[in-house]
Amino acid sequence: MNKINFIPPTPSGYWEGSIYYKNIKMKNFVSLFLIGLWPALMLAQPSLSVQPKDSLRTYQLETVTVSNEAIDGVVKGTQSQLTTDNVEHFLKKLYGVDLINRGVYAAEPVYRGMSGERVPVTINNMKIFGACTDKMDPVNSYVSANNLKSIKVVKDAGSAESMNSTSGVIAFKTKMPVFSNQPKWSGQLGGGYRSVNAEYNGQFSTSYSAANWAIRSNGTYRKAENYVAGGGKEVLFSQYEKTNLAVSASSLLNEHTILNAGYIFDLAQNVGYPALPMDVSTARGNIYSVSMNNYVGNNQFEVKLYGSNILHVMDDSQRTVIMRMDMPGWSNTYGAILNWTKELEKNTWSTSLDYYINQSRAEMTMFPEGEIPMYMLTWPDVLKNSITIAFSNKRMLAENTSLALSAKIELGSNKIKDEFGVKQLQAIGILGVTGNEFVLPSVSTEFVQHISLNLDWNIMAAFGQRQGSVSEGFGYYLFNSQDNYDYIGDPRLATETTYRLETGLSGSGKKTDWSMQVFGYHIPNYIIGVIKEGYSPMTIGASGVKFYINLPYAQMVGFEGGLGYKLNKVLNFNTQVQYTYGVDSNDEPLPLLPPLKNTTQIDFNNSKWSVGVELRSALAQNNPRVGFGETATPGYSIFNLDVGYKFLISNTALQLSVQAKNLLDQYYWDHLDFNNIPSPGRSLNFSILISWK
Amino acid sequence: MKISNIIIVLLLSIIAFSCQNTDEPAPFDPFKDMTKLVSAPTGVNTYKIEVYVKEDPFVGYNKVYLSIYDSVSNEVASDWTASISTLMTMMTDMGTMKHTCPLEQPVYNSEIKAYEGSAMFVMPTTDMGTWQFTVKYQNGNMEGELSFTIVVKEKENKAMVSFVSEADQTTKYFVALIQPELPDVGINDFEIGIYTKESMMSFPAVEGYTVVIEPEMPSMEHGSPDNVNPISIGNGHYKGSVNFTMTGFWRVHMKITNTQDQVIVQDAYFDIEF
Repeated sequence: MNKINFIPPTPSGYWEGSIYYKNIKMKNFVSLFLIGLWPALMLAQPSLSVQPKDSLRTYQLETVTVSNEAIDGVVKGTQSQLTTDNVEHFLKKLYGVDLINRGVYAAEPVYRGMSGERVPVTINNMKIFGACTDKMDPVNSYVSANNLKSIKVVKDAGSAESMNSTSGVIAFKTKMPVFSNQPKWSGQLGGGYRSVNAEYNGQFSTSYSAANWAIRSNGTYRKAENYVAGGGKEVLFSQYEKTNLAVSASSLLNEHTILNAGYIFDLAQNVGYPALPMDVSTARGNIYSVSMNNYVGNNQFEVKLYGSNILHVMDDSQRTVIMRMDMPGWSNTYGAILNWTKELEKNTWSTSLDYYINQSRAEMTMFPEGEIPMYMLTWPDVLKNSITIAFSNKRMLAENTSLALSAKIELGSNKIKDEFGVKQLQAIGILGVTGNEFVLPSVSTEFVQHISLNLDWNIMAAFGQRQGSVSEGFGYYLFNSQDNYDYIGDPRLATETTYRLETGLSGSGKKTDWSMQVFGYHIPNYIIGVIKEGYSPMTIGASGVKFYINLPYAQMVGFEGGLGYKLNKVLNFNTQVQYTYGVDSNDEPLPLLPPLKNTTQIDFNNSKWSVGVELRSALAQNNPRVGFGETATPGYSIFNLDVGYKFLISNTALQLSVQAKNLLDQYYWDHLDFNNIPSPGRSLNFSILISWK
Repeated sequence: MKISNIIIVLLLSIIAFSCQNTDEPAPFDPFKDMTKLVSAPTGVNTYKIEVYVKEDPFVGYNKVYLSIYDSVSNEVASDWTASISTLMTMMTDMGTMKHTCPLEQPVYNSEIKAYEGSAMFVMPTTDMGTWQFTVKYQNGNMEGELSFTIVVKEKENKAMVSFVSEADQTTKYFVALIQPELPDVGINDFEIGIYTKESMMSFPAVEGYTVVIEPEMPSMEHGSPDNVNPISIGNGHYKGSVNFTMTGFWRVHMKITNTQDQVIVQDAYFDIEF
């Protein structure tokens, strides 16, 4: 029982599986499962039915759920992977998802070759925007692995989870406290060491459950030195120190209503970015929310208020530089979500209203020797207002077909709040512009046919639009060290439009799970930076200035898929493959396109031992976007091995694991690794985890 | 001083200070932030004359304001005529040398109720050389003259450059920075005055020259886009605009060509810091 096909009738936030329950006390698993589901069972019994078999399946795996919506996330992992690895590890398990590395800290997710504003990351549906002009603080860095409940790529237009994106949202869900009829404490305490960068890490999580209230908290701490690339070369400026704390408390106000408050604190210090010319002295995130869920009959109402305050301070004091520089950034977001979902037997309706404001500001002060400091606003205090009305309906058309329709419209504006920013724009010839306004409609539809017991066919068409990001619209001389150009945003950019068509087949049987999806994108008004002659770069040594403009279009095609095969009770085989090809209207390859990649894994899991062998390979990428500073990247194959052992002492489980990552100590880099920064070499990771209840 | 007097003085000062705290708009005073060079009776009835400059006199283009008003009725005189002249007296090894500098004669400006002119001092006051500033004024058949010395300083960032023409190697030129007075990020007016020296007593403005500017941040080796080259607008003034993309130390390079298309200076520059 490695995978549970489970659709909770209430928000999936109220079930918490765990390795401990599942593997140590297999017999009791079902009952624990039901305890976890208790509020859901109690509140929504009429709709607790097995979901019609269609593409909207969610796979629960150990403590972490990873799923794609249209493609089943056939995700497997061994015990030690699930407790030792970082969030990035689970991101990679999502079909179509890849990572941009600028070091070994906080990788930025890429979905089907798209990143940044094209594929926003949310945490519990909250919009959060990084405060770093160089994308050093992707939103996923605020969720630690022991707080991660699920990651999902949301591709429809009109759900509460989707937002102003054209190709998908990577939606993180954190663990929620669980109610329990018998009050109980449970917790985990763990620690580990990684040899490749001498990382010491510690983690804890604890929860208290009562009949009508529950609280959960977790924390992690990691501190690492420089890592060593394959072959033994130290990669300077790759150290980091990070603390992450999260608390979530729920209260059952009445039999229909759950109140939840959540808080995440994240503090990273002295984070080196070897691929970039600057490091980070402090990156601090405060993320908080209060939500109320109300269940009446088939109706579910959710009200959520949230906010996030992100501070990001770049620092070059450890580098040899011509001139010292300070680059602080701030991003504050406040939002409200109203959602109403009505689930009928063959029909699910959902309507949501989503409002948020974000204020992004970034400054740059340079200190030339013997001169007055130089100052500019790299993000000119941009205030974004956005309101979205979304609607979706999903219905069974017949016994074996379903149709989903989603639509939303976002109305919004960006405004430069600091007059200094308006003057800066004037200085580069953008006159009379203090912001922009936008109306962004999106529509998507998906048809699923259940062809036979083990075979589904889906087809999805979508239309979406997005407004340029803060950097694309308002960035001011933002240096990109990969192509060596300063980037300037333009508030007058047209909205980027995306037409998407995808289709796929999937099947699941007793022993196999597989899916294959092909997709195509046509993206008119594709936003990208192009060289502007006559502008001199601000950064010393930069080659020139690029302005963000709308290209006539870009096009992408690709596929992703996987196969899971259960050899026997204890052995699993998994393989996944993905590829994206994209060109712009000048027939130039798009930047940051992953080559054909494959991950194959064989797992052994029994009640005491777990062993996993993983092979990650990428073909060469010989289609670089040279104008973006890319070079052809050779292919690579990396072996990872892990062994875990666990045993039980009364109510306490002890789990030990050893991983060998990059076993053969290959020197390699991925095409998406910024500035061809080499990946870590062989690392032996040791971890110990104690769980009790 | 008697104690009662002290109390009165205290009370008066309290009243005076309290008055300053009232929210009433301050009376219009165009000279509030300026430097008063001199204040003297004109000798014409009860009229007084005051001479103001925007900041302490410096080498470069100095706006000069003459305020003539009735010290009893405060009525401002607007129909007088006034002129200014300057004279630098230098003690050198070769004897005493005297010269003047480019001037713009005062004209009544009703907006600020003063006669507005300018003096472009071409050198600072030194131990060996002194600037004498003379104002002559006339009302009907009454006339008078006011003469005083002033101290002219060199600004840290020079507001004037002088050079010998690269075309004929003899003609001496003086270029003064007039705008921006208050540089800021964004688009700034860029105005200069170009003068030549015919004799020790004649520094006429030159018209119709071509100026090409290029701003630069020397420490960053970068410039800025979309600058507008100054063009001749009369009185030796040339006006265009310069764009500063950030705060800091900027250097605006100028290449100046005369009416015969000869380059008189390949690279003169003003440093601007803000």
